[in-house]
Parts: sequence; C-alpha cells; structure tokens
Amino acid sequence: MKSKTLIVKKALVAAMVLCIAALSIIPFVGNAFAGGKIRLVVDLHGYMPSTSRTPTAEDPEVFNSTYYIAQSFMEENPDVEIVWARTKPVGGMDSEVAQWFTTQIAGGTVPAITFSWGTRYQDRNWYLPLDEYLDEENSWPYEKEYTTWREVFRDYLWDCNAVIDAFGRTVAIPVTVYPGASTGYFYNKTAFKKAGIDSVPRTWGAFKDAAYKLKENGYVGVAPWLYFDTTTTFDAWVFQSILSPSYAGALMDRIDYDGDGNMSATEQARACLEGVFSTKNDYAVELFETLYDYYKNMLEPGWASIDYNAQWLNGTVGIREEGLWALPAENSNVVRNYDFGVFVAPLVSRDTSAFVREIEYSDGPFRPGPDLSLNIMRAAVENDPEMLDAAVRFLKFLTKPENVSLICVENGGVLGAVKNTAHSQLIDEFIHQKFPKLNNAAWPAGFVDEYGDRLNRAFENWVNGTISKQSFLSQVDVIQAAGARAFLDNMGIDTAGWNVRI
Amino acid sequence: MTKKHIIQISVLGAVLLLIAACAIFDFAVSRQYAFEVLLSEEKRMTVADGKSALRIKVRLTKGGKAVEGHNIYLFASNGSLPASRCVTDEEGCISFYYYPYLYVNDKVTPLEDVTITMQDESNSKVFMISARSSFTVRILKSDETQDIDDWQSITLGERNEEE
Repeated sequence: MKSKTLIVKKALVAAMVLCIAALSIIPFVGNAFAGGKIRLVVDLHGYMPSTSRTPTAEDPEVFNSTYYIAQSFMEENPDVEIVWARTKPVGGMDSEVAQWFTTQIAGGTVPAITFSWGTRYQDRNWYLPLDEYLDEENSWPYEKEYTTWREVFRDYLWDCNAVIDAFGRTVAIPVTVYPGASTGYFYNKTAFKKAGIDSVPRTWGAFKDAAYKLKENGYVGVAPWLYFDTTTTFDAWVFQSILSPSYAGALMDRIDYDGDGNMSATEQARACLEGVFSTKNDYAVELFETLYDYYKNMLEPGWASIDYNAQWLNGTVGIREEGLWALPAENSNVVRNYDFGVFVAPLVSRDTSAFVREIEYSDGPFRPGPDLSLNIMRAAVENDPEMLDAAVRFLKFLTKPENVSLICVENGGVLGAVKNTAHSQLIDEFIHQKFPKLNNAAWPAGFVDEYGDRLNRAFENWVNGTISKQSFLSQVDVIQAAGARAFLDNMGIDTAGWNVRI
Repeated sequence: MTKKHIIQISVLGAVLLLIAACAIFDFAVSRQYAFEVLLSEEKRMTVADGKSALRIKVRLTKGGKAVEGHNIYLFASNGSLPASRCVTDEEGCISFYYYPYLYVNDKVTPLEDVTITMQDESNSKVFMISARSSFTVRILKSDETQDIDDWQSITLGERNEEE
C-alpha cells in the first residue's frame, strides 16, 4: 500500500515537472503564432489607436481610424492578427526611443512595422530595404489605375532622405506628410497692430525686424518652443527649418555630386569632408553668427527658464514658435482674448544675406516631408517569410488612398503621402497660402547622435560665453568631420576618390 | 461605546452630511441651467465627406435668462470640432463649427449619427457638477462620388510674392 502511494506521488510530481517544463517552452516555440495566426506587431507612434473607442468628458481624445483600418485588414486577411506595440516612449526624445529599439531588438520583441523618423537609424542596419516590394510588377492589388505599389505615392517622396537611405534604398514607407511645414509661428494680431507690423514676415530679415518692433512696444518679440532648452540650442527648429535650408540650399551645385537634383546623406558627408560646410567659408560663419544672434539678442535673457505659456495667454508675447499640432488646442483657448494667426518659418533671403538664393514660392505646400513613415525591421522578419509577407500586406492596405484619407481627416493636421487623398478642414486655410520652394539640401548637424550632442554643447558654450566665437568655429569643423566619418564607417561607404580636406 | 467614540462618529457624520449637502446643492444648481440648440432638428445633418462644415449655435440659460461668460466644453463622438471650448456671449450664445468624419465604406467607417455633448465648466460652485446636454447630428452618405480635394492641386491665382 505504502509503495503504491509512493509511486502515485512520484508520478504526480513527474507529471507536474513535465507540465511546468512544457509551459515554459511553449512561448519559445513559434511564438509569433497565436491560434495559427501570424502575430504582426505594429507601432504607429503618434497614430496608434486609442484604447477607448468613444470620447467622454474625462477622456475626450480618441483616435479610431487606425483601429478600424486594422480590423478591416484582419477581416480580409484572417491569417494575420495585428497587435499594437504600446510600450514605446512615444513622446520620448531621440536617445530614449533609440534605447527602446535597442532593447526590443536584443529581446527579440521589436515590432515588424515601426516608426523611427524614416531613416534616422540607418547606420545601425535596422531597416529592411523595400524597393523589391514597391517595384514588383502588379504589386498593387487594389485600384486598377496603379500597377505597382510605388505608383500610389507622390513622386517627389522617393527623393526624400527621410525615405531613402545613404545607398539610395527605400527603407521607409511614407503614409502622411506635414501640411507644408511641421512647425510655424503663432502670432498675436493685436500686438502686431500695436507695433505697426502690417504683414507677416516672409523673410528672416523681416522676422527679425518684427521681433525688435514688438520688443520696443513692450512685448516679448519671440518665444521659443516650450520644450527647447539650452542643451538643444544648435539643432532646434530655427536651425533645422530656417538656417539649414537657406544656406545649404544655395550650395546645392557643390553638394549634388551625382547631379540628380537631390542631396543624399552620402553627398552631405562628402561635402563636409571636402570642406563645403567648413567654417573657413564666410557663409558658414554667417550661418552660425545668425543663430548666435537669435539666441543672444532676439530672445529674452534667461529664455530657457521663462514660462511663455502664461505670457502668451495674457497677451504679452508677440510671436511664439510652435508645432502646428497645437492649432486645435489654440483654437479652443478661451483664456486668450485676442486673435492669433500662424505663419510659416521665414527663410533667410537676399534682403539680409548675399550667400543665399532668392526665395521662390509655390501655391500650397511644396514637397512636404513625411510625418508618419514606417519601416519594416529586419530583426522581426529575417528568416520569417510569412511575417514579412504579412507586414508588406498590411502596409499596402494601410496606404490605400481612402485609408490614408481617413487617417488625415481624423488626425486633423497632416496631408496624405499617397495620391488623391483628403485632408481635414482644420488645416485647409493654412495650406492655401504660399510656401517657400526648397530643395532638400541640409546643413549637417553632426551626422550621428554623439557628434550632434557635441555640436549642441559647443554652441551652448559659445552662447553662454564659456568659449569664444573662434574657439567654437574651430571646434565645429572637427566635430562635423568626426561625425561624417563615423556615419560613413557605420554605413560602410567607400570614400576613395574624394577630395578630403578636413 | 465611549463618549469619545460618539463624538468622533458625530463629527465624521457631520462632515459627510456637509459634503453630501454641498454635492446636492451643486447638482441642484446645475439643473437650473439649460442648453438650447438654435439649429432646427431638420437642419442638424451633414454629409460624411470630411469637409462639409455645419455651423451650430447654442444658447445657455439659467432660469430662462441668458448666461454670459461661461466656458462651454464641447466634444463629439466622431468628426472634428475646431474649437473644443467656447465662451458664452452677452446673449448666452456660443457658435461653433462641426466637421464630419470621412465615410470610406461600411466596414472601416460604419455610417453612424454623431452625438455632440456640451458641458458648462463655469456653473459649479463646489464639486464640479457641470450642467450638461447633448444632441444628435444626422450623418448622411454622399449621393455622388466624392470629389477629393487633393492638396497638390491647390492653385492660388495671381498673387504678389511680397504679400
């Protein structure tokens, strides 16, 4: 009897051990499959569907279009289950998001489809090139007017450095684009009237004049974006949206080595090493002096610690740097008791500089860059052709014009990257204005994170007086060249035949 | 039960009663306010094309008299409201636009009427018990094939570049 009981007990223990072992192994066996379906993990960043479908007074912000698009896709593709990646720090800065990706890739949990600002991490070899899927014959399974997937998109986007990498490979699928610009300047119409400013500034010179006139009349001339501080002075919007395109745009014939009318990331690095962006050039010095003047003289002393939001509300700010995503909130601002308007970032023009081009304008937005663009991550699809196929199918479905229209109308602040798409009436007035025609030339900002940070620190030290202008200018060439070399090494690009001077 | 316990319970009870009284008072105050949608029911409709704006005017009254200077918070069950907050004028009125959602097909965007809710953020004295009301906007499918206003086809005509 005793031995029988012992046998039963031992059998039970063995069975328990086997169960535990089996349960712990199961997640590692075909863990991409749930109930026979392909588990496609998707990150749409700021376009992720909200967890609630219905707005309430306590939680009015819902985003449904991507949810319904995914549901519709899964109905048509019953072999795929879309799972939303919700652990990503969507509002995080670049370094935080990069760390999240690194951790996800190392842990084998990176989403198959993800947003990473287009080609931001191209030097880490994270992205799957997508040209073969875009160009495959009859690759567009929907409307008959297109034969390939690539034809669905607006042509100019294939020259965009946020879509193609340094090797000219398409690594990001654009879904939405900025409404002409992603940021602009909100201005106080009452303040403008009192300061005698008759029209919105269309050039940097006019912008500077307006800022000083506002100051003379007791207003804050320009209030920078709330989330900028002294550690991001160099690579902030004034540099990115105004000075960089103004000065680099005039150098296109020296940067465009292959003559295709576009500056690639490789060409930018080459131009850097060949001295085109060197501070030995007067135009480079002028660019940095203009930026220095903005922080040192145009902004208020101690700007980084001033709450401009309160001052905007009480009407003492003349011009406020802001993202266009803030338009809906500003329209609902019942504390502000004056009218406001929005103008596009004004480029440096020939009224203040001999080194830039005369600005030409277009009717409506001119080749706006992508807001939402999606990559397929190598780590999620390599050696998994079914996952890759599911990812491509979903991206094609997502980029159907009617689905992109749906997203644009609900988002309220973007335009479609594919042809024949609708947009929200909230931005209709904004896009019906003249926009400066820009080529895609851009002034380098360190090329990789490490050297971008160093540039920011060096510039900050110059502005706060820790180092002299000469010291800063001499550091810039060294930092830019080191960044260019780091980028080229990471990408494995051969520099033989280049006329390297730095 | 000691005298101390009785006192404690009495104090707690008094506090709870006071809170309840304040809440009831706030609720009673909120019931004095009324929203009147100054757009006839027949006109409360629009087409689900993402762009057909509907202008809506609403009056807030208290005891039949217009209420000026109150913040009204708005939200819609679908579509867009360019302004989610308005302030009532001297006639107690707010005026706002509603933009409908875009109907694509029955699977992705089921055609549903929209509820717009209005909440008075200024009527409460104590506990933020807001006067609230809602109304329905009928959403219709467009009869014709939708004309897409593509942004790359914008033309502004002859304009001075200096403007």
